[in-house]
Amino acid sequence: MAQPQKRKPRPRLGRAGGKSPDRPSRRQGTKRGLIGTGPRRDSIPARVARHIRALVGYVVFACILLSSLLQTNWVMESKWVEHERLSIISGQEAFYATEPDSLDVLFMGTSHAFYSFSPQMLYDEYGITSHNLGTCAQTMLATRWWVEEAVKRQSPKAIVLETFAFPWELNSEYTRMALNGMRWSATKVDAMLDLARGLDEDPSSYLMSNLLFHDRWEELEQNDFTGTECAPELRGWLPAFWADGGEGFQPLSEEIGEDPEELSDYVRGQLDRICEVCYLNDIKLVLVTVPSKSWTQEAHDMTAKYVSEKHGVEYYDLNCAGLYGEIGYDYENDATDEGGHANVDGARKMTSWVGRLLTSGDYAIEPHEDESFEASHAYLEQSLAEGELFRSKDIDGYIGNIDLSNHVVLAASPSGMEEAVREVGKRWLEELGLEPTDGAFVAIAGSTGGADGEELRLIDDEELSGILEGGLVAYAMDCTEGLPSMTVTAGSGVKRNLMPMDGTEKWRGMVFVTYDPVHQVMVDRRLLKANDYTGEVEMHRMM
Amino acid sequence: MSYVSVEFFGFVLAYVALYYLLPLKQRWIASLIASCLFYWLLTGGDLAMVGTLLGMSAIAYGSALWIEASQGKALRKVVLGLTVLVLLSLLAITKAVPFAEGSAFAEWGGSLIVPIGMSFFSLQLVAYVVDVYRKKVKAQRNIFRHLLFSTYFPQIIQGPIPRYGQLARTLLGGSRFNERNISHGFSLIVWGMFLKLMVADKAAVMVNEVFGSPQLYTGWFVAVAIVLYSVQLYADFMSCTRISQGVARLVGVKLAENFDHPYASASVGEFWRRWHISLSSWLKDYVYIPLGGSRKGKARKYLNVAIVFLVSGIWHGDGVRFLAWGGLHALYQVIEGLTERPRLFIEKHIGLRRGSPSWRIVRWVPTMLAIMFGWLVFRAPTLEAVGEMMGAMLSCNNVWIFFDGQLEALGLGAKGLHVLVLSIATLFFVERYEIGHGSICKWVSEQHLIVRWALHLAVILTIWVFGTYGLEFDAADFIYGGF
Repeated sequence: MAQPQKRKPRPRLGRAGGKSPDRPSRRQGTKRGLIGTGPRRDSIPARVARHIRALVGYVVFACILLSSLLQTNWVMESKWVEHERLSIISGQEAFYATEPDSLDVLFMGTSHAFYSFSPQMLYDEYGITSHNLGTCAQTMLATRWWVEEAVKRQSPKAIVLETFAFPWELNSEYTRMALNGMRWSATKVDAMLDLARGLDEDPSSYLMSNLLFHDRWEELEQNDFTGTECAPELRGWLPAFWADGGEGFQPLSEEIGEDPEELSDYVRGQLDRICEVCYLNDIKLVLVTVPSKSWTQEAHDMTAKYVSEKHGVEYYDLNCAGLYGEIGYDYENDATDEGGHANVDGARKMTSWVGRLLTSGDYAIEPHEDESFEASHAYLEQSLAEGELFRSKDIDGYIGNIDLSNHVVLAASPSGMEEAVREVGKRWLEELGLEPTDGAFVAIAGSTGGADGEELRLIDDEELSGILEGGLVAYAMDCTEGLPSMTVTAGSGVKRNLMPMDGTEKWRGMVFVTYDPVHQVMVDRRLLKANDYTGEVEMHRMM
Repeated sequence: MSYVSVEFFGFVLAYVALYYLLPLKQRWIASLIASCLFYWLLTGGDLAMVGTLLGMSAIAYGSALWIEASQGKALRKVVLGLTVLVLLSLLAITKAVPFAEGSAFAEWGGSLIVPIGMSFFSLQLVAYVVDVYRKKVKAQRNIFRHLLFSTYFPQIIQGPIPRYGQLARTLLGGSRFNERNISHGFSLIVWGMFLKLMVADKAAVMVNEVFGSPQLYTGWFVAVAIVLYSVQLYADFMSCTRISQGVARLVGVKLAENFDHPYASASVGEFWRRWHISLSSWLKDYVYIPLGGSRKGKARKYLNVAIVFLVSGIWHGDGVRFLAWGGLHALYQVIEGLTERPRLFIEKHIGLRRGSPSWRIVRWVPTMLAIMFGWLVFRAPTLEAVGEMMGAMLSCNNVWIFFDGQLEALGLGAKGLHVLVLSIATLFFVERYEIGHGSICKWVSEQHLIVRWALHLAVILTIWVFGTYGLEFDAADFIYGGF
């Protein structure tokens, strides 16, 4: 009986352990003993070549895997958007984007620092260039390592260190938040190892930050994939427009009380290193405590006691009666967060004071012109004007405060409004250059602020989209079921709904949203409605 | 150092690099160094634990040589008996302690230091000495090679329990570099990680919630928790087996298979031939058969089965609950044996053809119910809780929990629950594929480079994004690591 012929195995390219046509089959190999259970030996050069190919493959795969994991990490990380005008990371990215050795001053510290000191205001008034590297609850460890990082890129003449974190212990979350935007370098590695030692944490979680943020996949948004682009022109400063500081300033004593407590060893260690870095780099270190109702006499005494033991460090506590009066601070009008942070007016006063300090005495920083700061001046003006609009309580003058060259106004109204509201609404629409309609409508006024051809789209309905190039577009639509979501696409492609979260409810009034499409900031959102009891038209700010 | 930590994979990378850098004949030395270092790191340099492992290894080494060299049958038997007694004494003492609570013995036994992985390596060493006695293998004369066999790190904590005859060739012989081994090993590790972080640890969140507060849950909550625990236990145990096999396969070492799709079993007997195969076969070879197996009549056979399962129960955990679990499985087997004829008779008369899909389903359903009830006994905090949970499950038909979002409140949330369901579905489809086609990891390792890379990358990124792990979650604990 004829034996069936065995089919010759076809070579399979690209397959693990696959054989090339000219390579002998493994089955043709000689008997193998206990030692050496692998495939039959090839000639040494062929074997070496195969191993090198495999090794190169592993390295390539490892690179692809690592870059994919790091990219995933980046997406999963919290972007720590403090406000539309400031995310912690974008503020730090703006620092890296600043011309090397171009800054005179650096501001460091907690949220008190980034609310209180405006680099642009400082430049506009004194010709001093600066950047604010303050972050939320920035720990002293983070401050110290940011000082080390900053002096590698800049040669500041002074560092203004806000002191709110002095009484605090080391904290992982806020330290990571502060250090996250630092570029990878030996400094960052040292900072991470320092934090790991301080809190007995696993250092691998800094590189593979998903160990911390692995739960965020449930809350990912478009921002997480596209990144946030908060206003780099403000250079780390966050303007707060609202004034709700309250009354009741209790000045602290400049005199150190009896037997004050010491700063913790951890804080002293980090501060000592900051002093050392400043000394080695010929930088003046200025410690400043800004007015805040949560700063205590004990905290002042601890800080003052440390400073009294250090040479070459100045300490200014603006909560003490003398300095508080000197800067002309007024909680009621200059603070927000119930006296917790400075608003725009408070920041203006403190920036002005620090500018006076830095241009006088031992500091004597000379004014100079800087193209970058000159260019960013306009955005500060725009921001301040937006602040005025935000604060406006004048129903008649409100629309006049909107600068349509920089902003877009989106207006929407359901049908069936009270006549009084309709009248005010019509007037507002006319002031915006829109032709009022009687029924329910959605309208857009303004331009994309110079971004030619930029599309501003109401994505709920394709028919509602339109290209705005300085012109006005108005659409009539049925809003009887409530206001539609009004979503804009601008800048980095981020889509966002500008309507209130509960916008689908039947608002008995008109909603006006002022939006800066270039910086993607929702400037203000107002509701015109009739008072339930008096019928009078009122203007409400919608948060 | 856990099997799912960054440190472990760094360690494995260094081990594999060192292994292939050494000349072929010396490669086992890399395995020995890695194994000793791993155990040292694992125990935090605990000299008592390391010393116990080395001591037991040395006893097995010496005894095996002595038995092999001895001519007298009686002497060989005495040496074997004493060796087995010594090798199992520490394990036996620790298992006996919970039964003597409050006594001086319990106090003394509780103070003994039990080395990590003892449940596994003591059985491994007993098997080696018995196999030498039975002349199935030759005793290893090189004490360092013997030490490597005793301590090989991928399997020392959670098995599979190896046999010398099966492991020695690839472990002690040294392997040439082979890309297919690397690829297959990597696939096994990735699949193991998927099972651990996407299935077992996600299911554990819900399971722990219900079993942690059994008085709060009734009806379908309990049923869901029992089903999920069955999935969790399987995925958890299989994941550590796959990772162990994967690490070993990177250097060409083939560890024993521990699972053969146990949840597809049509009887409890079949389940035990498919679940934790290395332990089941150990119990068969070194307990059941020496007791007489099925050669001495039915009554004796069932007695032997009962002994084997009671031993298995005690091996799995301390105390009456695990003894009850073992006894339950013994009872299942006895009932299956006694009812086999009547069942066949009924099946024949209702037209169920043996081996047909319908026949399998009819047998599979009660088998799974019995096994899951066993897992309830296994997992419940106490035996009393078993009764309470069964009562709570049967007394309430709250089927609406599948529709009104209450299941989401068991810790995972809606999205987490969806991911768990998808992961379990993936496990199910992979199991289905493997029944007909063999290992999925082997299939992946044989694909074109691009396909292989893409699959590995997709699974790793899926785990990285959706897996249950992180700083606040201890993914390090494998359930079988505790036995």
